[in-house]
Amino acid sequence: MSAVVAVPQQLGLPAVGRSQGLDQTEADFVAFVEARQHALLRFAYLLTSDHHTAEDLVQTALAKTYLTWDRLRDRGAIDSYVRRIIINENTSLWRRAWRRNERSAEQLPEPGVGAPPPGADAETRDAMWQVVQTLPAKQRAAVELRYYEDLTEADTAAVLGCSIGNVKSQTSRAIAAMRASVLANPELLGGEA
Amino acid sequence: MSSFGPPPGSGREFETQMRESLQRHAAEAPRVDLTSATLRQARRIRLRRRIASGAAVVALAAVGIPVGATLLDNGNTSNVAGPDNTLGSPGTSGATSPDSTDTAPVTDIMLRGLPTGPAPTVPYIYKTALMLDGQSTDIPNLPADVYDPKGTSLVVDAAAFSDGVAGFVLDTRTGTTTVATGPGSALPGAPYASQPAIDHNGAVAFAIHGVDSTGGAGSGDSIVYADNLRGPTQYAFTDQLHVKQVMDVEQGVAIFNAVTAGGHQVVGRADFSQGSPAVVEQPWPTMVSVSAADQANGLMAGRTTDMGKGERACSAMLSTSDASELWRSCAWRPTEFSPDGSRVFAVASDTEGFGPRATAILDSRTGAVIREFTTPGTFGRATFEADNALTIITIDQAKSAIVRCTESGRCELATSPQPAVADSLIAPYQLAANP
Repeated sequence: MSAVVAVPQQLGLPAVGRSQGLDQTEADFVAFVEARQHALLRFAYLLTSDHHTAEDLVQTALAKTYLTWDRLRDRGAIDSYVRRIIINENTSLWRRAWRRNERSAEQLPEPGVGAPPPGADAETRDAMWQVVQTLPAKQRAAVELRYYEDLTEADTAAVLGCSIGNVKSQTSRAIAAMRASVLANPELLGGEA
Repeated sequence: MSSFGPPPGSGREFETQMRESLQRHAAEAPRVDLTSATLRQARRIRLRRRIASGAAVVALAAVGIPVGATLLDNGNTSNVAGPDNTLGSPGTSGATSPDSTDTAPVTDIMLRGLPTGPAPTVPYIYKTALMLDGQSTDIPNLPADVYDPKGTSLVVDAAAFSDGVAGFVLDTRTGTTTVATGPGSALPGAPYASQPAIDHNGAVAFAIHGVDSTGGAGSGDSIVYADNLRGPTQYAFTDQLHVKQVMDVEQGVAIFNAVTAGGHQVVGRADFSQGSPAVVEQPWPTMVSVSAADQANGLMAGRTTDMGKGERACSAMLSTSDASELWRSCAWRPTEFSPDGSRVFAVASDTEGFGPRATAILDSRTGAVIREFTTPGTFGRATFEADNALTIITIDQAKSAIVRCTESGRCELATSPQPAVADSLIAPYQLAANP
């Protein structure tokens, strides 16, 4: 998987459908959203572990992207651009202490959201997932870009907006912290320390 | 042991398990279509920027020009203007269907520069004072420590008033308490209770959640109903049903949201009008939850069983008589009806993660967007003051105020902006829900 993603027309994806009736800019953008939103949602969900927050992050990132769409000369790097906004927005959310306040809501969460897929080794999977969730936001982003998106260190640095050395240190610290958690709780991976 | 010590097993094995875990969880990500909502949000941001840049130009070029002037008038956008004491008659010109990508008439609300109008005619709370007709009065049964001006933990969370009856939820240091009072039927405070609903005659109904030995939510929920004639009546449920909130009460009939022991959301109706015990039934089996109800006009908004996960943000307007669907929107979630039931206030389904920044007045029969309101800050509760005008709590630049807006797009301050409590959603004002 690469961070460099071509616009939908370059991928051979249709730029019509709901795009009909829109001007060319909007049509291009809508085609991009339709082609990439689910991949971006997966990325945001891994960052946040929350369906609603992931949707909000992706939507906000895409809206901001739309506002600069005409100025984005390197259409091949839009995917990286959106991911960077998602990461920055997620970091901003964490900086707002009130965002963590629990609020009552009229709507109940839908049953089954976040439930493990049938047949999965839920215990082991949840254990590793719990460890990932303890990582600081930037380390978590680095881990996901490197080990989920399979980006190179250079591409990861481009998305995070930092140096390659910083990517290495963030990833190294994250892995070390995760291993420390496993050492302290070897049952997490079902093995011996 | 150093945190950089050797891994349990090979590093490759660890990384492989991590990759597999990430892949599995990525598959659980939401699968929704954000295209329309994204375009709407982008257009709102663009509109806000245009207004802001327009304001800057006006401020630089013409210092002293009254701020109430229209800053941007493209036929769709009207910014704040002077007090609108002659509220126009309801009209739907320019209205768009709820999920239309066409731009609906939009008013962007920024507290700074808004003209000042009269105090709200609907009841509201300012700190510990209940304000009626612009005058303060003591809140009945209000515990002395209910509001902490330092904002550490205590706040009036929600309120509803009618005909001298007050009901509200208090977040206290020891938990949540609902207080409901009325002439001749004062109710004691009830812990673990939900926001009350009050009808036009001052009858009140709210849910009390059962508690277990640890003080946590448990079994044994009930609904309390009280009116001026009979005093409080309580209907207790078995542990097979958890009552979440009474959403509307009218003529002794309460509509409530609940969840079954199996985790299914349901909408129920409890009829207290025939005396005790109440008649409780599930007349709308296709309803999953209700966000607003107006039994007097036969309308209710909420979610139905035929909405899939991809329609998480969608709401439908239905008839209470037969649950027939009048319209459906995935952009707006109705929360309050106007007194005559012709309009419904709705908040944007996509909240950008920061609370609602966009709200709208919709035609309750068609779902047409009559007027959209946006703010760079956040909106709180809204209550219709008249059939074509509402008051809405607006938080902008760390200040909170109740703002009056008409559906023609005119907005003014109904209360003075007060500092919102820092680092929280707590605001000095709480607006009552009008029955």
